[in-house]
Amino acid sequence: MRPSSAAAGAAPQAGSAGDAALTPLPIALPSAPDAAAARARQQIAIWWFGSRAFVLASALIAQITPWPWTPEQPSFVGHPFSLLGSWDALWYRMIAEHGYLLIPEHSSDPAFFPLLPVLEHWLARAGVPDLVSGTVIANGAFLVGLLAMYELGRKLLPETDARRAAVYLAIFPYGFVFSMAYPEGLALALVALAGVLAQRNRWLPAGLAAAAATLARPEGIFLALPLAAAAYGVRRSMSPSTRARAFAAVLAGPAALAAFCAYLWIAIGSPLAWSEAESAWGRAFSPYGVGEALLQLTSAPSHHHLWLIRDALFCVGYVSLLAIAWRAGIPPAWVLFGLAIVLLPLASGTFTSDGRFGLLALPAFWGLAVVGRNSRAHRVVVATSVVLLAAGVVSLTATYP
Amino acid sequence: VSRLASGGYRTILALAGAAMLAAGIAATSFAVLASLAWPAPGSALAVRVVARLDSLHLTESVVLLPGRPPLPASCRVHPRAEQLAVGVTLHLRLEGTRIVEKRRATRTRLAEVDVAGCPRLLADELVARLDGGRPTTPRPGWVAGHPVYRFRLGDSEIVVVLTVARRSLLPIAVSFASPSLRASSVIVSAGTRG
Repeated sequence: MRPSSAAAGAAPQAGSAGDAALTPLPIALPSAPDAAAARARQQIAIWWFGSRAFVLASALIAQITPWPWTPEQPSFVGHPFSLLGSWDALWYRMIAEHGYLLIPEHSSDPAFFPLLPVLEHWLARAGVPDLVSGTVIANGAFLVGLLAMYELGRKLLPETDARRAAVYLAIFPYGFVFSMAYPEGLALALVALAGVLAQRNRWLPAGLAAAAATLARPEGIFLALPLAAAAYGVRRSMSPSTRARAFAAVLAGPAALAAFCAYLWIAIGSPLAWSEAESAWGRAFSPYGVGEALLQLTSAPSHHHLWLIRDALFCVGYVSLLAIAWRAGIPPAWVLFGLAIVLLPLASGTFTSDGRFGLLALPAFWGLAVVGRNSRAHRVVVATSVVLLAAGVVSLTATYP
Repeated sequence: VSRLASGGYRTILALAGAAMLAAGIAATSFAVLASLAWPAPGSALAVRVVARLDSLHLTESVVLLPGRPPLPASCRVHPRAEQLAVGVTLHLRLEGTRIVEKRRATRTRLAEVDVAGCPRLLADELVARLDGGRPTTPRPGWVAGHPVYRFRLGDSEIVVVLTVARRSLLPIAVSFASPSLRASSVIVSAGTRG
């Protein structure tokens, strides 16, 4: 899929291909001229539009075609895009409609973080149907996320790498989730915005973005790492009031999580209801979690749970790309942020959905952009991503992401 | 020394300011969350009934179907399924709310299963209502001089009512009403785990 000649912009620059692929780069380079940045933003928007149109078309086709048919397959007549509002999206809609309720030992909704359902709830009051609001928020926020990721990336890598990383994320195989009524699009936008705002020393907005990211997805709390590193880097030039705002930005994610716990305590009587609910969904953090996850992986074929292998492969891919990003000079705090997102879920005893969680590990996509400096690698990444993106959408008829 | 003291004072000021700002962010987050709906009345009690049903491993009941003599029924909970016996001829395996049977279940069979008092089945039906946001407000009442709560289960076409003792929350009766059939049961014993 090539929505326009944007590939020319996304293609590696002459001189950056080949043997320079793994050479560490300076952390901060001069910003691209405004005109070039504006052109890059336009190209990213075109890739966003093309990739989302492709996902929506694939979802339509998957719903119309009777193969692979499963009882869970939503009907085309009921809602043409209901595939994008299936699986966990149903739980988010239930929270939007009825709020939280913990049912011990049974699958219940406190396992799902509240920002997306809050927004769906507000839009429902304004008369927007839940499924529509959920998918519109997700897709719209994804565009904001790609643009913010580009802005952040070009402070850390050459401009062409930043642009390519955003394009790769737009067409990433697991990126169909960004078109579902899931909070990943929202979380991506908030994570990237928090990074951009911190780069610009706008600490309070950065803190608010980090808090909102944590309310969207628990991974948002790991933003404390890059925000703390960014604040530490400029500590000497800070006035006391700026220093207070920077500290607050670092604390914002944990503060938002504390607010969520307080809300759950008052509303349903358990501050850790989200963690209790997670265990009913088969996720319980333990010191042996990683071992259990590996054990579960080895028995996946005999338990007809081959989708687990998909997630494990993505996990390995993310970790490799994070290593490449680190070697390319991405600040260690951002690499640690990515590693925490990809590896910590394994401590809950399963690889399930790790491919989806890793979508927020921005440095992995910067690592992929470094790989794509080689023009042949770039073509392979684009072609493979597009094919796997379509396959990912179709897989929704059989399994959750 | 005075420069050090001044530096320490500035750090304390910065930390205090940060703590206040973080508290403000937490308060704003809480206010945003508080705009969500709060749990429906009665749902907390329904959750406790679910926990009570989950604690049972065996129930014995008497099933009353129109035109048939009372049938003894027993339901035993296993890790992945429930084993239901009604009378001497009917033996079924239930997985959640699903009957594991090759034939399509008749309306009478569904009624027998619903009223047999299988704890996991009843718990799952109550959970489905709770998750779906359907009303679970218990109706207080009396059965043979004992205070009870009645919970509505089932869908719009079939009305299943679970009656539990108000004090122990143990199930004591189930009734089933569809446009074409009525059935009920009295649960005579319920065994808890451990």
